Amino acid sequence: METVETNPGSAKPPLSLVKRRQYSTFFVAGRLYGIDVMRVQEITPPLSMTVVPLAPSYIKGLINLRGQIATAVGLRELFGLGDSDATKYMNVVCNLGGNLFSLLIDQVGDVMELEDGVFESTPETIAESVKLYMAGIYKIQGALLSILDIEKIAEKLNK
Amino acid sequence: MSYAPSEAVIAEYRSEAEEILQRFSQNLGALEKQGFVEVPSAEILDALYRDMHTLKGSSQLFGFMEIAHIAHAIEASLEPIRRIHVNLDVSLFDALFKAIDQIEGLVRKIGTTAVQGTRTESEKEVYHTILARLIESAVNRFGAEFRPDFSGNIADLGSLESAVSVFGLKTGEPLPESQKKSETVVELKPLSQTVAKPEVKVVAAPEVKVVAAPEVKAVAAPEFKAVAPPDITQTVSTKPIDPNAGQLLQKKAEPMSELAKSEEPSTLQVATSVGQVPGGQAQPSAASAESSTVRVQVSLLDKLMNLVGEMVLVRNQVLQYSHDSDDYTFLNLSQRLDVVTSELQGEVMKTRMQPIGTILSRFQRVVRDIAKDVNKKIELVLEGIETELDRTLLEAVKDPLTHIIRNSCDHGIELPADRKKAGKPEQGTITIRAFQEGGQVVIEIRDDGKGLDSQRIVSKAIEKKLFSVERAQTLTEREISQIIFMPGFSTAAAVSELSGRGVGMDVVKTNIERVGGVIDVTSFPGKGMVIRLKIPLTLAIVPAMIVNSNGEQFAIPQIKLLELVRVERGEDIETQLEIEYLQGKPVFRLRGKLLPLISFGEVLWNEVLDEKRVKMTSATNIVVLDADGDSFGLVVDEIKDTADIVVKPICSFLKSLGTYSGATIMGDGSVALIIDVVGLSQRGHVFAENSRRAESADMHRKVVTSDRPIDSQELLFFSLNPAGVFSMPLCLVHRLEEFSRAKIELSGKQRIVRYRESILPLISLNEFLGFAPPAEQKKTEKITVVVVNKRNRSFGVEVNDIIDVRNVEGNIQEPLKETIGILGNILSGEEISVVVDVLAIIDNIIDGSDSAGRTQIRATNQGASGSHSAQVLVQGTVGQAGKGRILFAEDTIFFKKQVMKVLVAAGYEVAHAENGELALQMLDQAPVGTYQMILSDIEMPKMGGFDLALNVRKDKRFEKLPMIAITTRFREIDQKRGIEAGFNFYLEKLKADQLLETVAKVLK
Repeated sequence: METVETNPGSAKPPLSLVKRRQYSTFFVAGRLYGIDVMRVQEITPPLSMTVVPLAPSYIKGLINLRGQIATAVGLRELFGLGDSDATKYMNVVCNLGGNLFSLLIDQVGDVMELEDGVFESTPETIAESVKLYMAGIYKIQGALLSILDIEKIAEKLNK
Repeated sequence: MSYAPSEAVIAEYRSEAEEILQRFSQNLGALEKQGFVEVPSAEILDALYRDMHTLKGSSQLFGFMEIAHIAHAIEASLEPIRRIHVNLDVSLFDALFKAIDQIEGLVRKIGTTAVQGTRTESEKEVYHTILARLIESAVNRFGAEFRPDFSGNIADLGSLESAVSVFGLKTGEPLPESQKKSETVVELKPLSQTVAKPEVKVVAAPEVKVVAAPEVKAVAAPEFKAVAPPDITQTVSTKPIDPNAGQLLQKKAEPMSELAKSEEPSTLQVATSVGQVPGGQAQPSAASAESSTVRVQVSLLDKLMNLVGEMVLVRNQVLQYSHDSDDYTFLNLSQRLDVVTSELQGEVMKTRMQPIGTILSRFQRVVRDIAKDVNKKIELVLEGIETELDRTLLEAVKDPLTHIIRNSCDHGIELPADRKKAGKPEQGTITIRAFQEGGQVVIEIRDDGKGLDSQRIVSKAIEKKLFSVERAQTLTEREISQIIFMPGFSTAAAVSELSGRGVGMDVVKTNIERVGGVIDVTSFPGKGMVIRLKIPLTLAIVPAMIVNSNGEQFAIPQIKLLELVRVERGEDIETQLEIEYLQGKPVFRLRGKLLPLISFGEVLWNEVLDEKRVKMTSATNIVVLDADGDSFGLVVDEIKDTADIVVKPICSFLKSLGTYSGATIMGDGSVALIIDVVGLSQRGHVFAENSRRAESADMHRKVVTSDRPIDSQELLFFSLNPAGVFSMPLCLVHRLEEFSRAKIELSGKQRIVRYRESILPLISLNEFLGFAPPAEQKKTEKITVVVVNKRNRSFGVEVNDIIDVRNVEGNIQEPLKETIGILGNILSGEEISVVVDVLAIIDNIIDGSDSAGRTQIRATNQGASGSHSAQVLVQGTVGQAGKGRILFAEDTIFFKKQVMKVLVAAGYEVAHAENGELALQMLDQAPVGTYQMILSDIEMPKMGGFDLALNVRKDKRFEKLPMIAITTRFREIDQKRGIEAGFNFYLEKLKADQLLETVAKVLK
């Protein structure tokens, strides 16, 4: 393990400490996002969902994931990017502190292995509604990959 | 050489010790019950003796010497009783019970290691006192000859401490000092090292020799050896003090395993030679019992339980799937899977079940002790101790039960003298009865004490500001009994050790509810009271009712379910049950009692999906639920089925919504939310806290109004400055309040008062009606205010005093001279009362001229009777548009008058019908075209507005006849329903402007 010093913008040690990381990437409202691949339990096609009345709009419902109940969180709604498509979406299932969460995304991307060298902390100009959940940015060829911090998402949910 | 037992072994020791202690207490209790006259039962004595013996042995093995010492002392003090069959006495029992407590305490302190916990000075004191007491009680009763047996064994144990303390006792040395002295020595020297101090034994030895009772020692010694850890063997070697045991002890140098092997024969050998075997017998019998049971970690059982839960779900899914299959083999297999799974589930559930007796029997002790403390005579009767309950639940109810029983002893049962005075037997009885009922276990705690002292409870509640004085007067017995569950409530005059600290029944309630249980109190003043706990059999799988709302399934735990009601809109209008509306809130009359209703759709979906619900007019399903003792009805779309559901947790933030307690997976694999009934009722505002009783009383009155024959109405009677009685229709009264004069503030010229986080404008009737203050007007501290709602606002109408609420038959007679604010006069009994038109007054005050103008109109209609022409002074808003004849269906006199007044004033002819049926008749019999419009109330007896509209529209002649609904039932959903039924407009009552406008538009 080496620390990377050529990373002036990085105020986030957890990510900058490790040289290479793998990210599971996906698209939400046309933008590319990624989650540490270790945090992703599985990715599934749409499953039948039970609506939770009275819950905030970003709680899309409950999913039966082989006998376990997962709470579906619509990332579009959470980020304020409109409503998730009712049928065309995928579940990115993560285990957060014993609770299963399914993040509803538009489309699955590749698993990318990235160097910390191209990592930067989230620019200040990003909208607060999304920045809230971001760990930082990877500058990859032809695109910018926003890394989500699912702990922050969980924090927000539990508020 | 140190023997360090593993955690598991220690844990096993603990549970064994706890078992023994429990059994011991039980037996001791049984013995005590036999009384002190008879010679005690040898069986029980033997059992007692055996248990202590076993405990002593295992305690020694693991090095818990204190426990061993006390156990030994107990054993020793029982010995003479057992041997010479003498009677027992109270002091011995007390000593024994105390000793058991002490051991219990010590056992509890044992952690997962064999290290003896450190003790405080006071605990040491207790320990020594108990030892001393036991010895003393034995010596006092049976003479010094029994002492040596005791001290001799202590020497065997190798404990310097006890030996010295016994010695000290004997030599008359002051006890505490000698103990303290010895204490320090022992603490430093573990068992094996004390061997090196032969002088200790020398001290003890002489005593032994002098008074030794041979058999006793013979029994004790081999037993000791059998359970001694290896390291003790060296110690034992220095024990030739005891001649009888000596021969056996020769073997002690062998390693433990061999010792164990040799244990049996040697014990038996001694036993036969001595001719007395109790100690020896205990061991083999215990061993054989053990072979049929296995100790399993609870966590393992829990895991099994979870897995079975999963399996049940899979089974359900397979079954669901198999219904669509034609494959015979598959069907067969799934059937088989079903059967086996159910059986497996049942059996696994059983492993978690424990008889409730395991916790109930300990209450014998509790009651006994408390009774002694408070000088009462109390007997505890246990029934149904074999009833089984999930062990986690058992744990959960233990503390609440203890609390309830303590309360019963302390508050419930009276002192013997008082009981005698009341003609009851001196001895009070507390009965705990456990039995299964449905999927629940009911635990009933019944005492024959004095019951709840409602007066004291109420005054205490007022004192603690839990209620206002006025509220308190309206409380029912049942409500009073609920007060004891309020946080911080206690009637005990002084804080005693037992109760009075104000924490108690509320905690009991919370604990019971946490496990899905229900608690209920019934008090029979002077005769006693009954507390009923209803506990679900198990937590993991609960029976639930599956209901459907808006296409989603929800599970409602059956423990909260009282009954299901289906309200059908049948042909038989006479007996038709209907959902009624009060202040826009739906209620249902269930066997004469008002049941507040909440609609699932309304609470959960915010009525967004009304349409679906409106279509469901043919029948309404009401699930009657119990929320904290208050019942309410939940209107659901469909009641599906009952099912055993496996409760799955949901994330905390969903739980914090308050309406869901969990989720479950249904047979078809879909997820269903489990409803938190109490949370739902709060969400639906079924019971507004504190004010709810008053409001429900209000509601009650109001419904009664519409239930009465047509020409009767309920009036609120009050007084004003002039002599005589004034009244107003009760249906206008929202609440009655009192405000202190100091609270009145001024906003401009308007007097206001802060009321429920908003501002209540005050209107003085005296002032408005121009009544002069009487000569000597007493300025009271408080003003009495009738709160009236109008135009979605509250107004405070100040009166002098409230007199009464009465149902008055007869019509309001129009006054000779129209006065703003006076509706007319009514004869109530002998009195003539002036009926005040509060709404007109409010109108007049808020927006002066308009409505004032209208109220000034003199209408010549004579009230109740049907159609008649009216002389009209055309005025104001309506203009002279072509007047028409209106058929007006309305059952409430007050509204009828109000509406007719407005219409007639505006130049319309109005024919009145008392209900929909009559209106339909009138419409049918009159030539077509008689009426240009129908105006109808919605809630009426016989035939309501909706049905009237449906019937009218059915008739080809009246397809196009304009119909306006005018009602208090003014929710969006009702409006939709109304429009669907055929109304052209749907208006809110008492909005004159809107009404006139609409009527004008329709009849243009």
